[in-house]
Amino acid sequence: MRIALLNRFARLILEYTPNFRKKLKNIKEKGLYNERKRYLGKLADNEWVKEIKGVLIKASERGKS
Amino acid sequence: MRIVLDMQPLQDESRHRGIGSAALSMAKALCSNGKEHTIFLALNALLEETIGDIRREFKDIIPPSQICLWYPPLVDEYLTEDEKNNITQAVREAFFASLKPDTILIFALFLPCWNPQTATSVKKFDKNTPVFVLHHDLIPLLYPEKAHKEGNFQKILKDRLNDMEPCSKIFAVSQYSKDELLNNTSLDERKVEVLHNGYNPIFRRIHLSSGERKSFLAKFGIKKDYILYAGGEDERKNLHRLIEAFACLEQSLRSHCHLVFAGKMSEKAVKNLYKTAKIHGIAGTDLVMTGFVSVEDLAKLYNCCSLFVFPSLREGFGLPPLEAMACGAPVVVSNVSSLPEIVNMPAAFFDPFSVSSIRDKLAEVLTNANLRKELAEAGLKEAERFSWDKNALKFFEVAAQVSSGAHLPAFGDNSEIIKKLAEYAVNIKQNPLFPELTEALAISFAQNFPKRKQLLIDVSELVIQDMKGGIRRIERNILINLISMPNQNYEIVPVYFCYDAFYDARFWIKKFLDDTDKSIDYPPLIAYAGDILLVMELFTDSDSYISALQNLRSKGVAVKVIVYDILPLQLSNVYEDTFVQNFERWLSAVVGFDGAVCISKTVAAELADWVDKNAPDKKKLKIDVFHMGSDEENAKYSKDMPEDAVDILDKIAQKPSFILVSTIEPRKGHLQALKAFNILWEKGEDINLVFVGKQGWLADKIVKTIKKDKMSGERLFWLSDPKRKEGTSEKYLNEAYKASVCLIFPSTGEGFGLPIVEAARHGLPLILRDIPIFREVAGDNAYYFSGFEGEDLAHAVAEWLKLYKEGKHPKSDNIKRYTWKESAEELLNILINPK
Repeated sequence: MRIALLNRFARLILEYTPNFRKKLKNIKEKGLYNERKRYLGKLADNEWVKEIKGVLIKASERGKS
Repeated sequence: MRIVLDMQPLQDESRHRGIGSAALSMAKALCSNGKEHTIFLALNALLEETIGDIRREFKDIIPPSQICLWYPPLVDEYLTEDEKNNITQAVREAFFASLKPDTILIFALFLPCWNPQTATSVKKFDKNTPVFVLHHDLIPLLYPEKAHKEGNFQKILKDRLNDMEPCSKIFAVSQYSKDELLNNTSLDERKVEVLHNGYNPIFRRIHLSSGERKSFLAKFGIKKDYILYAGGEDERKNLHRLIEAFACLEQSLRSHCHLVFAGKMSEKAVKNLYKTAKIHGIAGTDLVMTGFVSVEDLAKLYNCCSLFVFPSLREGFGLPPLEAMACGAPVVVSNVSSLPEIVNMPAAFFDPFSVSSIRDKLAEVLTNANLRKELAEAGLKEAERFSWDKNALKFFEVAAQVSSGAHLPAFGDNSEIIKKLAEYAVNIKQNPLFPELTEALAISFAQNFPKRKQLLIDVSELVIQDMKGGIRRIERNILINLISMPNQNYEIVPVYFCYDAFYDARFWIKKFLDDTDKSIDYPPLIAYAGDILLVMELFTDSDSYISALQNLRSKGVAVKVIVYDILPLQLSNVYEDTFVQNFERWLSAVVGFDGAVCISKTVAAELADWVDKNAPDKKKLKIDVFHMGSDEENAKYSKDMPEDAVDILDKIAQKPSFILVSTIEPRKGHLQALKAFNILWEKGEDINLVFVGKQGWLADKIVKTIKKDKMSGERLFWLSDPKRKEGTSEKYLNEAYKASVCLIFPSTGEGFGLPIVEAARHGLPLILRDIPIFREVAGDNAYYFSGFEGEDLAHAVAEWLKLYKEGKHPKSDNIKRYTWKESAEELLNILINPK
């Protein structure tokens, strides 16, 4: 009970902290970004992605020389 | 012309403001007036919450495949902000170039630039395609408010201003905005043309009865006459001064009216405005804040107000006064920036910097009914000067002049675009490219630039269960034939639904064909606008599956569904209730998709009838028909037979055998057949009855009756391999056909009746129930019967046997049969070359 009250109190303080909403939005957006990255990460096995990766590496090697 | 519209201003917060509404109206006018052009709406895929709304707005005026998504690369952790902006801008321009446009239109160069997920640039990567821009104003640059000074906002704005130079033409929304632009840049005057905004035709005079008016206004808490303001909350809107002027009106005048602010405002702004009202002695109820209002409600608010006031200090155009004028409201506005040019009624002007000037104008109009009438009538006339349709035609005219010059396509195919982008990326991030960055870029490029268009075939059930009966047989044959058909325009890609999304199942195909048991994680599917997904499922009860289909549609993928039958809705008594409900839900979803391909004309007609009766509000569903194949399948897994198969087939071949091929379900007529044959056996007919098919739903009683029949194993045979839950193999079925003399099909409803064409392939005559679908498939080449009792069928079989003995029974040789290859070809043609 005491912990629940403390948590509630802490949350109230946080909500009245300037920029709290903005921070929350950033956290949410960051979470969304990471989620997208995780999902897209699985695309590395896609044949077309692998082919394009080859094109990028080739371009990078040409750039080096 | 091929025209790409950059829709980003409609994808962030700006969509709730005047500029967003102007962009939406202009885009709609272009699509509606540009039927001879090919217009693409390019949406930023990361701003996904707006994509569905935009698709709905344009669903009747542009094909879904022309609403395309582009994917900014997710490279935040590998690049600096400038580097990230550079590559994102290049990807955006490259994506636009991949649509091979003659021209590109950007609705607002400044607008989405504070959103890190967006990007705008002109001729950074694609140097050839002419770019047009609608220019609104330079307010954020010349008169920055607090929000405009945060971060590197001003730098981005200046970059955008430099992007004006390479534009082919800039359309300024007012003469004021044009002058402002020319005074603050070195742009050539000939490059900038005035193209006034129009207004949404929903803003017009509306007649409301006094009761309607009262109840409409009551929902906003408006109980008296009112002075209306509509728009945003920025400092330049000058709302605090307006409140002060309202407070200064004579008490007798003020007590008869509210001051109403319509539009979305932040909590902070609302609080501050109420605070100002309180300081100046305005009661809380006299200042009404409606919050966000729909355009329909806003039109009514304009229509019902005593006076519309717009005290803004700076505007590029000033859409709300125009909308109010179009609704016949008396309008008064500031005498600064673009407003005099738009409103064009000197009697309506006041000095927005002077509280007393605002107050005097409000008092003058509120107390003078003639002036109100004059302003309203003059306003209606002035509004006629503005039209989005005229703007769209003007745009086409200018764009055609510019594009008819020596404009060359920016790039060749997508491979060339990717090569150029790769070189561009290398220049941005000096070598070496990080492996992670390379991967992130490759993924983004793959999402934006398809290798080829894709025909996606949903093989989820085959992947999960690989069941070998009924519909799976159709799916399997269609799939095998489709993937073996070379097609220059489309790549055939099997896909698989899992959890909440579709995955690329090309790996599974390899496993499916060579039967090697490798466990593979399928990568997520990359789908593109213009792709087609074929759903071969009978139906689904999964909401997440339907959402995943909707999600693909939101990317511009056309979803087309094979409809085998609608029997659960026609014969609901022989299906479980939940099955019927789920089937109906699925069919309702299908009506919203992009097409249905039925397996017979009968099903197509039944489906069309169901759609007319049950979903008349939906756009007409495109319904096609393709024919099923019937040739023998070669896949090796379908060749296994149980150990006792040879003995059973031998028994079947010894006597005239009637074969009934079907899953055992109530509607299929197994019990009627069994009763009929018991009657015939008792009369001394020396014949066999052979059932082939697995047990289906609601069939426990039927199966029990079959197993308990005294002739079971002697004259009655049920060919179902107990080791195979999927049912009988293709080979066993073919052998059973060969050993029989006649197909008997007493089913009360079918979508096609595949056994009819299969039996015809084996030269078997047919005894069929007289129903429309069997008449469609077999025509005069079968013996038909009616009635649902055992005696009815027994009589028919006895009569048929007489004819058979004399060789006078109807032969099935002339039934038109298709191979699965022809069937798949026909289906492919329907999918990719719709009439």
